[in-house]
Amino acid sequence: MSENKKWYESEGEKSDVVISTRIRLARNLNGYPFPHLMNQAQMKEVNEKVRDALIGGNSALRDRFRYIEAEKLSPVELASYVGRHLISPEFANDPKGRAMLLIDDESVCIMINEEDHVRIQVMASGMQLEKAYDMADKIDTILDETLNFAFDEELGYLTACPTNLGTGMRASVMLHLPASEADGTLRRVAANLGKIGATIRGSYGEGSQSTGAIYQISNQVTLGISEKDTVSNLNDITSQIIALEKKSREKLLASESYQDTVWRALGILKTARVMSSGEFAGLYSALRVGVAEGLVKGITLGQLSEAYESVQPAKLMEQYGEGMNASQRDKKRAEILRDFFRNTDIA
Amino acid sequence: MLCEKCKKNEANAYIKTNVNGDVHEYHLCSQCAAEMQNSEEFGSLFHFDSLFTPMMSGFDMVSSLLSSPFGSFGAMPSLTSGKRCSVCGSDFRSIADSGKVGCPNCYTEFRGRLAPTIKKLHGNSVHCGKHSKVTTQESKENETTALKKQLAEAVKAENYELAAELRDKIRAMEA
Repeated sequence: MSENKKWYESEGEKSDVVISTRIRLARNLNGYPFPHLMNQAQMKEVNEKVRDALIGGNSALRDRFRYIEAEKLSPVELASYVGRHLISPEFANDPKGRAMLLIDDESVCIMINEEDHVRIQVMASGMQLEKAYDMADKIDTILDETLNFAFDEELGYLTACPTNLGTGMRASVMLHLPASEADGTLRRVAANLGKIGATIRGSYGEGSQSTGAIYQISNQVTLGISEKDTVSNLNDITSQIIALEKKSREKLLASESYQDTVWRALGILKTARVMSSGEFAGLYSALRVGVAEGLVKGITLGQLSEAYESVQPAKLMEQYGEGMNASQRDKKRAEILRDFFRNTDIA
Repeated sequence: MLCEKCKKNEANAYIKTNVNGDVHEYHLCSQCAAEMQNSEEFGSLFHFDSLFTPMMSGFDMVSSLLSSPFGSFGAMPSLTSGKRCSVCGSDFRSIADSGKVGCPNCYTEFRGRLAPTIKKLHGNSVHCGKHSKVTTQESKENETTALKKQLAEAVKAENYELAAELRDKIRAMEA
C-alpha cells in the first residue's frame, strides 16, 4: 500500500489557493442507539454490518478498501491518521469499539461509530467538490443497498446531533490565505460568511486555530438545501475568496520584503539542520505562495503538499520510530526537508 | 409589559441576539436579563459567528438550545415527564442534557418536543436532496398505486388519451 500514490500528492484545480476538498456524509442505522449510547456488543454489530455492506458487496470498489479496528492501532498511528485528516480527534481519543474503512490512496475514509454510525469522508486535492461528492454519493448508495439508513421524509437523514439533519453533509475546502490574512481582507469576509450559510475555521476542524494561514470553509446548513445546491454555493463562495486572495497576493508580491521572506524561507529549508514543526508551518506558508506565484522553481505544489504531510510529528514517529523525542524529530524533519528542496531555486 | 421569561416583573431590558443572521428580540426584567447574559450558553451563542475564536461544537450549541433560557421561551414543554423512547430508552431530559438524540426512533417519539430546536437550527425547512433507498422505493410504490387508480378511473370515463399517458408513466416507473 505504501507504494500507492496518495491523493494529496496530485494537484487539483486552483491549487495555488485551494489545498484540498472534503465531503462528509453522516448516516445511521435504524434499530440501534446512536454511538454515544451503544454498548460494545452493539458497536461490534454495527462495525461488522458496515464492513460487510461495503467489502461483502459486489461493487468494484470493495477490493480497494481495508477494514481497520481503531483499538488495534497504536496511539502514534491514531495520531498520524488524525494528522492526515482521515479520522477526527474525538474518534482517536476513544478508539474502543470503533472502526474505519480506508481506501488504498487514502482519499476515502469511512469512520464507523464516531458521533454517527457511519461517516463517509472523501478527500481530494485542490478544488474538486463535485468530484468528491460524486464519490461520497456512490459509496452511500452502495452502503444504503443493504443498510437501509435511517431517514425521514421531512427531516432527511437522521443524525445523533440535530445540526446534521437533512443531507447529513458537510462540504469543505481547505484554503491557503496568507495574503488576505495579512492585509485584513479575510477578517472582513469572514464576518459575513455566517449570513450566507458558511463557516470558516482553522484547519483541524471545530475549535482549532489556524496555523500557517490555512483555513477551512464549510457549509453550515444541512436541512432544506440539496447536496447539489450546497456544493454550488460553496463553489461560489470559495471562488470569491480565491479572487480576493489573488488580489491581495498581487500587492503582497510586489513588495520586496515579501519576496525576501519567500526566498529566505527557501534558504532555511535547504540548509537547516534542526527544524521544529512550528518554524516549518511559517516557512511552509511563505514557500507555498512562492511556488504558486512563480517565485520558486524546481518543485510543484503537489510535491510541496507531500513534503508537508511527511514531516508532521505523528507521521515522523510512525515512519522512523515511535520512541522519537521532539529534538530527534526536529533533526529528522530538517533532513527530510533538505532532501525535498535540494533541486529548488529562486526563479 | 411583563418580562417574557419570569412573567412576573416589569420588563425593563431589551436584548437582541443575532446568531448567524437569526435575529431574536427579548423583553426581560433586569434580573432575567442579567441571568441570560451571565449564562455560559448565552455567551457562547452570542459569539457563535465571531470567527477566529475557537468555535463551539455542534452539540454544545444544541445542548444550549435545548436547555438554556432560549429553549424555555415559547412552546418548550416541561422536561420532566417520564416518556421514554421504545428503542433506546432515552427520555427527553437526557437528550436535552447531552445535546444528542438517543436513536433514530427518538425523532419520531419526541418529534413535537424536538421541533422547536430543529426549527431554531434549520428554520422551517423540509429535507430536499438525496433520499434513502427504502423511502425512495416506498414513495415510488405509493406513486404507482395512485397512478394505477387514476388509470382505472380514466378508462372508466373513456378518457383514452389520459389513460395512455398514465399507462406510459406507470411503465416507465416500473421499468
